[in-house]
Amino acid sequence: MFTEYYHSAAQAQKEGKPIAYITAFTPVEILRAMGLVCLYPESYAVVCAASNKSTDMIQASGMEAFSQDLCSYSLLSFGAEHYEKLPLQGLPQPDMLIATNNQCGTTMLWFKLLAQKRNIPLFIIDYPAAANDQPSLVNYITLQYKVLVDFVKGHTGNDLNTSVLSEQIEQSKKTCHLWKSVHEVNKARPARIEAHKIIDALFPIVVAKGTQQAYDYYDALLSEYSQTAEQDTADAVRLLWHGYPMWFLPKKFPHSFDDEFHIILNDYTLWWSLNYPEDSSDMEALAAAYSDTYLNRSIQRKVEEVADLIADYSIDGVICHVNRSCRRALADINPLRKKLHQLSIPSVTIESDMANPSFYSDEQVKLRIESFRDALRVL
Amino acid sequence: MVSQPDCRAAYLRDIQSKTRGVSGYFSNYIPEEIIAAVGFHPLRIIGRYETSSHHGQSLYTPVCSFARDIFAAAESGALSFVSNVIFPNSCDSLKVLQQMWESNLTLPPIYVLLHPIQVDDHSVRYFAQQIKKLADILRNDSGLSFTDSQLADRIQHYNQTRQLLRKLYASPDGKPPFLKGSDRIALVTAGMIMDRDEYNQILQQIMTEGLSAGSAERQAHRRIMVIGPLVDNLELLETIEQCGASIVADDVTNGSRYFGLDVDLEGNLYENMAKRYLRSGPSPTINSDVHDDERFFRRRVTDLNPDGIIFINQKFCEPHVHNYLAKLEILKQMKVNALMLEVEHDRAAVSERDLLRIESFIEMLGEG
Repeated sequence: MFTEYYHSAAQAQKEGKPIAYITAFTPVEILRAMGLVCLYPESYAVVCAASNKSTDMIQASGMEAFSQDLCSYSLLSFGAEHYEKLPLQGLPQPDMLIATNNQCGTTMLWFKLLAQKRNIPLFIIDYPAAANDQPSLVNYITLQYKVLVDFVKGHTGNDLNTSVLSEQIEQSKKTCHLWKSVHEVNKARPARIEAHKIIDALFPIVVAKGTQQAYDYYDALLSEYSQTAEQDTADAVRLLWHGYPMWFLPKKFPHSFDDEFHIILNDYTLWWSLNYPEDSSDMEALAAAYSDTYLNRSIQRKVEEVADLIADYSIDGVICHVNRSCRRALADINPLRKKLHQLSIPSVTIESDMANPSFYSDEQVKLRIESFRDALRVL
Repeated sequence: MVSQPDCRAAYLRDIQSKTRGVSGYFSNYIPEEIIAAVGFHPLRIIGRYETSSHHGQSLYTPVCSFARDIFAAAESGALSFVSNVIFPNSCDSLKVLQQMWESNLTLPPIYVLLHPIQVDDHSVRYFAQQIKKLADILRNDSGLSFTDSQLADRIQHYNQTRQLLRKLYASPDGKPPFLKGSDRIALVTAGMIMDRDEYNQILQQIMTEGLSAGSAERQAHRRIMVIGPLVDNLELLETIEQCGASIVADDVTNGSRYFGLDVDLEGNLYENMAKRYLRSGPSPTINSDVHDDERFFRRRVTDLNPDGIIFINQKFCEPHVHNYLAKLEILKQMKVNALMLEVEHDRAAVSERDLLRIESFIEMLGEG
């Protein structure tokens, strides 16, 4: 599915289909219902990082001096413009850019810079906060969707196909539910799947949510996981990895954890399971779902949700990834650790980055684990 | 004097006794008029109101130095004189600060004004609703209600400030402004702290005296524009001037970006405030059209014709790093030299390294 996705994007360009670069939590259902081929530079940055290209590509970006300030996904994206040996021959050129601020403010800044550098039309959707109980916010967002439809129509001539939109939303709803169920096989003790294997299955929910293909993929995966033999013992130490994986590492988490502990859950992968409300119009359902991303929620909700995961998955300890690239994701770390302390759940922080290995130190990880190990042993 | 960090605390102690309390706020998108209308004294949280050696929890370093400095101040109790704090819906560093504040500090209470980043009719209507909501919350807090005409009266005072500051920054008859650039920024900063009526009187007096005194710009000096977020390091600005440059214009939060446009007094005042605050000019955290921003910036640089531009960025300030990268592309095309200084918000002294870089930059401009 992975290779097919990138090949079909290249094919789409050859056929002259309109291509949009979009950010991770853009309401892709609207765009597909208008005939756009949507590509995710963040997802492609993950491909580059996992192919061990980060260091060279960040150097190629000419922005290395700003690696402390800019998100490593954006550095990889700018690096891709000057780097020749790109995985999968790179992304086709876009006809337009569509960004949102429901995960972070960075994506808007990054896409604005991209729009200026390449002179490409840009549309930004503003999600001031999670909108669940705020009708005025839902109204503000749905009005922006109307302007988005006009924007896309203005650049492609394509109308919004409302029945395709409804189908996409229905499919997204089902797929998100299924994706959550895939994680839930690990609620049982002993766990069945290591969290890094669930990360390996993340791709379809990111780039193909709303399609039958993604649904079928997770349907098959759930059957497979449900029949998988248990991966650890009943007394194994079960850990939750909080935040972004480290894409440049083979198993996405430091190998130092392998010997004694089992990372059975990474909450980041659950961030992709959006909640589409029932009994709303299509546009309202999208406004509610996409404004309610994990990183757009209040601190109280974020902390409570992780606490619920700890109870539901019988977690013994938590590793918090302090990811230099994502400021927004740093907000909950200290409040969460305070909560964990109240719950007597040991936690440790590891400072690094999601895609830039120059911020990763195996030595630092080992040192951090030592004290964490002691705390876990007394459980 | 009030713009000097050491003098702020004493001034604010006096203010507290004359009002219903001090309402702290961040960002140029918080309508001060509303805060003033309910009887609170609006205080822009800039940092360093009280010195403290307290070291508690800190925000992780990719969060900007401004947010880290403010959190340390709040945690140490240096902002305990504030009755409430109003956060904007702004950059990620301020969002981290807000959420850490909510989670770690019980006092003062905080409110968030969800201002939109779009600049169109829909966003104006949404923002007007949010301003109204904030007004209701503050009314509850202060116990003081206000009528529309009382709000209009407050708005008028703030409009007067904007008009006076625009005059202060203008070049009458093509002559350069009578105050040095560092003094202009210091004066705008003082307004973010002082009682508005007192401030307007002082501004008026400075205008009257200054206009008769003549220009502060020295002809032989290099003409510099400074760009950045909130610049609370007046020593750095003075250093630029002492190195042989005149700061002829600025695009900083506590400078020219503070006073663009007035609030219209006819019609729905909440919508008028929303319009004014959203449409006051480009900002890195607002979604204005990329090409409009570029045209605006090119025109400004062309009209000003500076010898060079100095970007003063707070360490890890993401919106302004992006702004720098965007503007640098344009400046390269326009063949205008630029220097970027990255400063820690809580460090008042100018580092040897920065001093050398400023000296070399200005010297280089002299050779041009």
